[in-house]
Amino acid sequence: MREESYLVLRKFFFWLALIAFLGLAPVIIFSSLGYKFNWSSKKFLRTGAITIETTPKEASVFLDGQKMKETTPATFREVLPDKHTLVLEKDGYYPYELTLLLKPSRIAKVDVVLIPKARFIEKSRFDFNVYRFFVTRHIFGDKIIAFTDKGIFFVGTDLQNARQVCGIDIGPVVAGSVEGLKEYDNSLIYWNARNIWMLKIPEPPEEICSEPVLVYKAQEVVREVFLGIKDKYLIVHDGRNIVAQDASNPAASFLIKEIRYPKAEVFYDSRTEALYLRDRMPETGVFSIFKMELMPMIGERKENEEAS
Amino acid sequence: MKRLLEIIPGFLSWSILIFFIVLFLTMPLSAAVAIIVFLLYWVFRLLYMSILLMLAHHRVITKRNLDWLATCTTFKSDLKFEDIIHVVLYTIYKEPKEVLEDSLDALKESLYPKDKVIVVLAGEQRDQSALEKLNFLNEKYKGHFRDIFITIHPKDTEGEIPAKGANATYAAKIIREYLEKNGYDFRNVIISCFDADTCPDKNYLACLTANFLKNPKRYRTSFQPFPVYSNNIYKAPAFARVIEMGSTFWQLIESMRFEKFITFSSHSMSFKTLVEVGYWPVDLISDDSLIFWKCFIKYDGDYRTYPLEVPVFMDIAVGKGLIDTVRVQYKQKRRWAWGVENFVFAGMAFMDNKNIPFLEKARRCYQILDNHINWATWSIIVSFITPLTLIWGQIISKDALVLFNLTYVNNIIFHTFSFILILSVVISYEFLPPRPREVSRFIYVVFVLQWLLVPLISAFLGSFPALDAQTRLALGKPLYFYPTPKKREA
Repeated sequence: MREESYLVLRKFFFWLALIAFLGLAPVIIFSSLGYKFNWSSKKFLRTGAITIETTPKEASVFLDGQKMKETTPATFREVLPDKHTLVLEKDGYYPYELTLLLKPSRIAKVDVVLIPKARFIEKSRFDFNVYRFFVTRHIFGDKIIAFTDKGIFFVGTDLQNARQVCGIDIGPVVAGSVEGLKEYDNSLIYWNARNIWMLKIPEPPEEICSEPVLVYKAQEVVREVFLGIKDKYLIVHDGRNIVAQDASNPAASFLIKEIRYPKAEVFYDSRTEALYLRDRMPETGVFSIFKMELMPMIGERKENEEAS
Repeated sequence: MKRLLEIIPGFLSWSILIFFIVLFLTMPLSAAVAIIVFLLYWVFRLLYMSILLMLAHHRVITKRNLDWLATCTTFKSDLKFEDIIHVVLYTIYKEPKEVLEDSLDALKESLYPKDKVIVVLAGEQRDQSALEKLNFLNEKYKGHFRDIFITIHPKDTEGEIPAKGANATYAAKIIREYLEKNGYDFRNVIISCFDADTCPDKNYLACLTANFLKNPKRYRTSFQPFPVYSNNIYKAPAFARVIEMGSTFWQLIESMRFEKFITFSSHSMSFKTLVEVGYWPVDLISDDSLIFWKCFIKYDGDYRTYPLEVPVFMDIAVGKGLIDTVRVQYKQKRRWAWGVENFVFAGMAFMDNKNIPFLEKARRCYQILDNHINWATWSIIVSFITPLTLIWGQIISKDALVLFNLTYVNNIIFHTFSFILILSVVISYEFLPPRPREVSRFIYVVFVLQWLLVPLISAFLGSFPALDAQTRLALGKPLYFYPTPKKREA
């Protein structure tokens, strides 16, 4: 090859390298910062990345419901900043689901240990720390209500589906103290030994959950809570009194009866709206059963209050 | 002004390093972006250099079997081949006579009429054994060449520093007297200035002569072979082999940049030109490159270096043991990096020269600075600052996407580097001399694996010596000529 040919080739590759550098450098810099051109909006968006590592490896990845080609360990770039649902599955292991919030120009790192499946034992696949759960019964099927570090979830009894109903974390201490829970009219009522709270479950499109409202503070100990009087009142046995607390109005409560014996047993018949109470008679000290018709009792009390 | 020029290279190198360090400590995300740009630049630069290496390699191997002597004798030139005389000047200082014997034996085996070759052995008075050694060689090789004689450069000459350039110039002046006395026309004389361990390829003289005859600007051209450090390749430590082979590759790459190519180490030129420019510098260390700049300035920029297609074989610098070899290599590389004084020399000369276009001067100064600053900084940034940025970034902002992508780009450069390593392994095999019997075949496996040392040694025996030299120059601390120890084992 002649000397001139080497010179031509050299200049060709020099300019090729220079143009490639000048052309690619801005692209790579912007890409490194997470910028991606969105063709539909014709704008540059700042994206993020997700890296996933699992033990063991080669778990399938479902990102927002879509199965990805890569298995773990995997990195997904140019992911739009948003909440994303990630499900990691591998044969012989419980699936692992988590929701992560990806911020612009940030990388979300997921490092998960998959739990091997045992026979006849299922594990919920969701990535939250469960403080307390209750099972509620409905005509449409049972439901698990879980207090977790990521809020309150309704979980199907197959443990495969979960819906966050409220993002408020009431904390492990409070959640651990909860002794009972009832659903009421798009709200949850839960109580521990001293307090009864009501939490309104936001309906879509509203997403923000309000703080739980303290609807009742017991004088002694909350022993029983019923939802009665056409499911509009909480019938509370707090060791000293039986009280009817208006579920929608914390200020409205009616004393049904004072109790002589703190551990008096109470039974509420929702069909007849009658309350049965085993209590001690102060005059004789003997225990007897009392029946209270709550509907007419509450009706009369209300009339008296309105009159006064 | 001279002091300013001496400070500039070191200042720029340190500024770049300090900039990156301060940036990664204070703004790691911005440092990550800066390093990404830097690494990308080097990915493309390394790829481009790889292509140059392949082109240079192609150029060499396509002419490997060329009958250079026939080219000399048949080429129609204004000069006659029969009139061309070679003066081969060996500068010697404390090298054992075995080293010189190998060099002279190689010259003797040249495929070129030895009656056209005059050998000059230039010793130093400082070397106690010089006279005895050179007399021995003179006697041994008398009759094998047109002529052979010795010179002994006196020590402590005013205006000179103890360096190779001073010795070579002293010998050149004696050669001039000899040539004049014997009626030689300087226009027909080519002088080759060789280190004591230089074993020219058997086609060297023929290739040199052919290119001299063909070149219409022969008196405006130096002729540079590419050095291959293989004389003791089977005995040198692996890291030293890698470093020296890297030097060969660098010379091959530079040889493809014809217009920027300058002389280095052993080289040849017209004796007429040498006389006109006043011989090699006697008060500077980098005589091999400075002679080019002297010619360049003298002829107002109308001077170039032609890359010869044949090599000269030289020794890998080794010490008494492994640690000593590291020391020797470091000092040798620091002496080579002292070539940054070219910037000062050229800069000062350019200021006085009104005939060289400003753009040409600027381009040349930039070229010298670019080479030396990259030499001093790039492997420090890649080997130290980049990992430190990643580590520090993980502490400060572990979820920053740009830091994650820096790792990704770093991996790209690593893969690019791996490609270059493979290329280096393949090309290096071209220059391996035959394996001595006593050396096991396992050495070939070592020759492949040794390239994995590059990331480790590129900073310590690449950038650090260069930074050391530039810093000394900037601080005004002189560097004394370090004669690389050469030896032959029995």
